[in-house]
Amino acid sequence: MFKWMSGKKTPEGEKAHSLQIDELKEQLKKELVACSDLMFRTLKRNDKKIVICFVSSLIDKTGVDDYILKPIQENTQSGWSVEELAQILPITDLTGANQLNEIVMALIDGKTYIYSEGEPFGFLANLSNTVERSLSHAETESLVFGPKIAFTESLLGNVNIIRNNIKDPNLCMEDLAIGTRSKTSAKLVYIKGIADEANINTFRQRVSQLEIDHVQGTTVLGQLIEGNSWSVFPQLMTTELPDRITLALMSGRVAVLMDRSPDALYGPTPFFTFFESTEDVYMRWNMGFFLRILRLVATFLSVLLTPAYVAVLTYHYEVIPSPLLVSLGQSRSNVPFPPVFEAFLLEFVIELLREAGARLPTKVGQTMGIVGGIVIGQAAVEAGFTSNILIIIIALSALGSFTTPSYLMGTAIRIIRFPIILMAGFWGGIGIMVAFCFFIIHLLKLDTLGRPYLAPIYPLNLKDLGYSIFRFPSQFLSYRPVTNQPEDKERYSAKKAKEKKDVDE
Amino acid sequence: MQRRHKWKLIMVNIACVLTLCSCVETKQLEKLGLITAQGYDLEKENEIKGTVVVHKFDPLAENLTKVITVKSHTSKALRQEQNLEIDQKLVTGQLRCVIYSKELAKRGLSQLVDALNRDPTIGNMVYLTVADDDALSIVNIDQSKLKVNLGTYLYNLIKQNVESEQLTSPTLHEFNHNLQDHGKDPVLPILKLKGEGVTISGIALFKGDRIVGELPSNKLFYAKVLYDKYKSGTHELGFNRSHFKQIIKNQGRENKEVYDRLFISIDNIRSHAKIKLIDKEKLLFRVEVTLDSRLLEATEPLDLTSTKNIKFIEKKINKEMESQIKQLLEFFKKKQVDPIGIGNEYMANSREKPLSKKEWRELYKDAKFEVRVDNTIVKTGVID
Repeated sequence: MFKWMSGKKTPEGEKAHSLQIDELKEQLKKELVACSDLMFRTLKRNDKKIVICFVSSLIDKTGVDDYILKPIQENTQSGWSVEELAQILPITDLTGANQLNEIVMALIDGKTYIYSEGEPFGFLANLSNTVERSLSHAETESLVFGPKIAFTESLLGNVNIIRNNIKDPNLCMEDLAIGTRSKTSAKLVYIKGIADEANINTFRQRVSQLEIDHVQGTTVLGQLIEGNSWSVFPQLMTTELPDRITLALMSGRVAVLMDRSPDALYGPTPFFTFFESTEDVYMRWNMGFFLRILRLVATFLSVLLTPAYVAVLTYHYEVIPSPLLVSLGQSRSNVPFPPVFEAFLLEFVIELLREAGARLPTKVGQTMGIVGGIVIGQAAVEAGFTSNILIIIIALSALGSFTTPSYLMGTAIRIIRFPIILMAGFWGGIGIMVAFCFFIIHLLKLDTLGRPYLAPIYPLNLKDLGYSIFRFPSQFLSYRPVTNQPEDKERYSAKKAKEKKDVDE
Repeated sequence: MQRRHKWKLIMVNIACVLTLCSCVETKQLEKLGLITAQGYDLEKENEIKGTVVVHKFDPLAENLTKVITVKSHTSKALRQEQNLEIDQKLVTGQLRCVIYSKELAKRGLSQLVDALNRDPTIGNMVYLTVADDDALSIVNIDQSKLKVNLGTYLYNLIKQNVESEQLTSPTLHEFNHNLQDHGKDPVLPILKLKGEGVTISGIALFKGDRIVGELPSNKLFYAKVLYDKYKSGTHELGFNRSHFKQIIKNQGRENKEVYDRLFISIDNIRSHAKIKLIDKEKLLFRVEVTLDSRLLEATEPLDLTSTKNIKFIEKKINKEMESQIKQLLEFFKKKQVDPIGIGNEYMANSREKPLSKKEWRELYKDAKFEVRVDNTIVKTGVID
């Protein structure tokens, strides 16, 4: 900040502003193009002028009144030199500045510049006021158990929540600026000593080397820095739950928080992370275990049930068990379309319902759900549009895809169903197999921050199964997930945990 | 450049795959006529009569099954002929039951069964049966009273009896296995018309692929005991009443003359049969049968309170069973059939080259049997 005093040559584009107040005003007006809310307040005493510049929409006006104007006006005996001003202004965040660029950036940031004419530099006072909503319930990841608090758009607030969750001095927050024009401030969050250095470096490097004018939020940031942007599968996870981030940090993952973004991005997140809910952890382990398996089975069914219906009814009538044969055949004989078309039609209707339900306000959405349910459930079958067994199957697979805690992954699962149905219509069971193998191979090839995407299934890591696919009780989880390669591997000492502490001893 | 090349290659591959092998023949369920049961009769020399029960789906039709009878020389030609008479494509993938007439079975089934084996759409769990008279009359029974189609009905009829352990499973797989097995012969259930329904009247004993004898349904128990394990089953035994005089309770009445014999019914049987070759030279086999059973019904009030009486009944039952089993084995020997697999037992115990079917039949003529039954009455039911 006192660069000009150190005698170094000022670099190109950096120059001190004019020492004349009128000229300073002109300079600032010129720099801040068409900025109608740029305001100046000039005070005069004994031929000495002092100017206070700020962008009125960004500052706390009463703050400026109370902490800048009032002390200056009331302290009549003290002068207006830099040293004297620094004494009388009751502001914590006060820095000296005289570079025009720096001042312009600070003004946009919501700071107030106080300059006393003739002095070598002025002060930047932080009295900014950003519009924020208060903390609220998590909406996209709703929970029954556990903390309900969700991140908001304020980076400072979010950092506050995380710092309160983890009171570890090793919790690191590195400042990052994202976007060459927008310069959104962001923070790289990790716990030093737990998180793997390689993960931190990969994350830092990918974010800081990003050259783009503006990044809309962490979800977009995730898309920009993930390994394969052609894939439907998200490779980095965003969440609005601070406790999810806390869990992730404690298990050695790295997160990025961005200003103006209510989600935190974290990684490395292998495939099965997207099927974990924080609720599994809060619940008793056996319930959590059951729910995780339930979710995986639901996903599996969701992907394969409709294609199986199509394949069986188009090619493999031999495998239909005889009790089902009559009801299947009867309901199918009313339908004028081939099974592929029928399945596509109904999947399309379900997707329409879902999308319309998501776009509409909640009150209308409910009505629409009922109407849609009746229309599809009753009328479509009676009109001979679809078979009622397919309706059950489609409903089941739609439900299955909604059980995924991550909305992105749920959408991915719904989308990959379509090519598999198509292949089932082309080649029957072989088609399903081909399409399914394609997806498996694709998943095997993906990576998340350079780590294998299908871990801990491939490469198989038996120790981590208790963390991802299953949920083991915590006496078996004395270590942090190995796939994250944490530096501090232990959560607690397993040896010590086995020692009995009897009163008699 | 490299990447573009890769994409081109992928596109070409997909295009090739789609154009070169796209149109697989579709078999949409509702457009098929599903054959659920087939019957074969011998029409005359060189000609067989095939009858099929076809299940088809039509939203408007009431009766969903149709019976088609045609005559031809081979079973596939029959299908061609049958296909001319129906509006939906005939397929065999849902075939549940095949009925051969006894006439046909006497002349050998192997070619007709072979036709089933070669067809990949026909499962191994299809039931094979023999009609007591002709297959046509069974296939042609009035189906309006059946809730399901005939194929499924017959399938359930047999399956139910297999599950309640009255029959040995007559699947295509087992028939094939036993037909090829040098030390065992196949058996199939015999279907008979009874009133408006169908009943299983016994099992047909095959020598190779030809039927040579029949076992009536009341003898099935012993065949089954020897054939494989019992887990739950019921059997009724008849005895001379006078043998039991000492344990019959006289409830005031002197003599009840409804039955002149005493019948005892045992159920919940667990059995285990062991056939052992004792003397290789003399071809002496020992058949050991162990049974655990529950005595639930007797036609006379028996005094079951003392262990002595129970032991007495056990002994009687043992004796009766032993003689019945012995009779059955002799009957099999006389008929030159081996449905129990005594040949396999012999071959398992002789360390020579496995015998051919013919060699075993030569030896079988001289086989001797020694039967031991060890029956335990575990419970006699609950009496308040």
